Amino acid sequence: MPEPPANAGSGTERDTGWRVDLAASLVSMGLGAWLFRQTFSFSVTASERVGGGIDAAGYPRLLAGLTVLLGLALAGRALWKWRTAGRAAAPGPAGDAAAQGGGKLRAALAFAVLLLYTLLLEPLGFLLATPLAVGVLLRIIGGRGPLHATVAAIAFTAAIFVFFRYGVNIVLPEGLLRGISP
Amino acid sequence: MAEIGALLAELGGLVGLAQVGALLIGLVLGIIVGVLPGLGPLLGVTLAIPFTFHMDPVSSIALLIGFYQGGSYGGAVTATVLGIPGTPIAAATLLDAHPMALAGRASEAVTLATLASWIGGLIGGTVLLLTAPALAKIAVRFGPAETFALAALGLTAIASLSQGSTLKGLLSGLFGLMCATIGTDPFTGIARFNFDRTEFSGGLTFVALLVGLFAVSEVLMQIERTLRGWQASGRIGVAFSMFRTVFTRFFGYLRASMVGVGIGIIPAVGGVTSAFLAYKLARDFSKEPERFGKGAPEGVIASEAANSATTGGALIPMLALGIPGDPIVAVMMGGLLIHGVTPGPMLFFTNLDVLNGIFATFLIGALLLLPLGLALLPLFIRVLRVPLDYMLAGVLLLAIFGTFAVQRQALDLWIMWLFGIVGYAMRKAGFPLAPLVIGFVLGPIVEVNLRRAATLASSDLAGYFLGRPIALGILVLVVLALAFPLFRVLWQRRAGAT
Repeated sequence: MPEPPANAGSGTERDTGWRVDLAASLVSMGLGAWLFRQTFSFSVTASERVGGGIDAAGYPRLLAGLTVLLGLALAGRALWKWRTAGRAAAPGPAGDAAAQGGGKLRAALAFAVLLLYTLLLEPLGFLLATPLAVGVLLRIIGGRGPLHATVAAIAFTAAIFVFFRYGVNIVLPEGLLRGISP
Repeated sequence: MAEIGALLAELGGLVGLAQVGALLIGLVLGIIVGVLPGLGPLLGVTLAIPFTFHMDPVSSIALLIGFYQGGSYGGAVTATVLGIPGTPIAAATLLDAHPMALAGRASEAVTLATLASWIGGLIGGTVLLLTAPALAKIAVRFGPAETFALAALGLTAIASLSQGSTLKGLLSGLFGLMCATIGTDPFTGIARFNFDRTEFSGGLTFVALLVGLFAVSEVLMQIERTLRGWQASGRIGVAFSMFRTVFTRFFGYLRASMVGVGIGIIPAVGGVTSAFLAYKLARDFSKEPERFGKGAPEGVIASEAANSATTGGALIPMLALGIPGDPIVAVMMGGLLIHGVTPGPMLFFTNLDVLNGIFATFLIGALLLLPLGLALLPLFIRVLRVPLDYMLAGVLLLAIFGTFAVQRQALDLWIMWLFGIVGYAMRKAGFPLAPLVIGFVLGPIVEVNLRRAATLASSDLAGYFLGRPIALGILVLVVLALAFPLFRVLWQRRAGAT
């Protein structure tokens, strides 16, 4: 069958190194173990313990146990990768690493802005918080100049406001403008 | 034939102006989402879900079907014009559509792709209409053991057949099942994993999980990549001369559509595989296989008819068995569950009007794809000029306020961001996201039926399953699905050795 082209869309990274797999396995095992422990805090009474142990606590316990087991298997696979492929992965070109680092920083900054926006959305209100957040986002994502970013942010805010308020009749957080916003 | 005619007339009567309006909006926006590189029908359906809350069930599913059909087609326009697939399922289309465009035949390529999508969609819809009721008649006799086994098959198939590591696919599915246990136990009503907050008593908000997992993580991935705009050049119109290919290459359209439907029914395989398989078949059957990859119209027909027909095929297991075969269908199933409509064999008895509405809107959507796709072609080409940063900011705002609008509580936004980060980390670590969302949707079905089976079995669960041949047969398929990657590796090694 013909192979899909290399640029056949974004998505999951297909092959990851042993370090990533090992970290993922540790997270899976940790999560599974924590959830397993949590199931003992459920208040299941004796009369509710039916179905051969697969009750309100038994079912999530089963899933958590399977998660730990599969995490273990993933750790084994990571170690096997480490043994067969060598301890250190070959470093990529320096330019690629720098570009990736820049991209990661951009994504982290954008995400931080979004979290801050979520915090400020209700106290400030949609009409004040949104242009600020979108303006900063456009500066980070697209490198837009201040004037361009400001005008675009106001336009975005107006469009979203009109769509939600008058299109689908949803009142967005009013915050400081409570009582005076349209 | 008379029966089918009567059925179609009945179906037509079930769909009113509101439903057709929702379908049209879904189709147009779906095509736009499909045209925009990096987005696609999954993101479109995800972003549309919050807006379906205040609609009636048929309008709601009509909107989602429109996004599914339009999004599946839209990628072909980008594949032709830019040489990059707007969606992964259009990857096979670009092999011949883009060379056609480079040779000054872009209008012919886009017209062919539209025709093929139209025919594929119609054939997929017809098979859906004819097959799903028959399958549901069988499935309605299933008890908890068989239903549990089917859900387990759906989940393991998607975990092991989707790209990447099976272990990671299974872990992703387990995580989805675990997320579905948050809230209140369906049998006893006791609280589980609710972090002492009453907001979690109803479980995690589906929309927040979904939007975070697919939309937020996708936007973060796009922001991280090198940003560049798209430049569509040249004038593209409708090449009416291509319409005669419907007659001259009828068997090509039909073969690819049947491949698409067949692949669509199998969980997890999906449009990318069906398009490439149909493409390979078209090349193998061609008298001039050397033209493929250099602008052969048959290549465009095969790929587009197959991936479009896959949409109809993929709905069959969801409607008849209650098992979503791919993440888009899982999201659509979630959309139905929001309205209290549970897909599965009982749907054919309890919600016949909704079911017929789904059949009708699917067929009407498939019919409308051709006139819409061709009439609005200049608009879709123009969409490609939207700067990427504007597009991403727009997606983020829709994600935020779509999620907020469902319950109007900030907690949902925090859940969305959490799953955005989870989705981003999972993509980076090579974990597929589809099993997680399918696990979340199937979670209550898996749990309720396993616990019912366990109660019926008393203390001998294994003996209970052994005494039920259908459930046992499906569980054998589960084991085979799990073993499939191992067979694949062995086969590849053997092929490599020879």
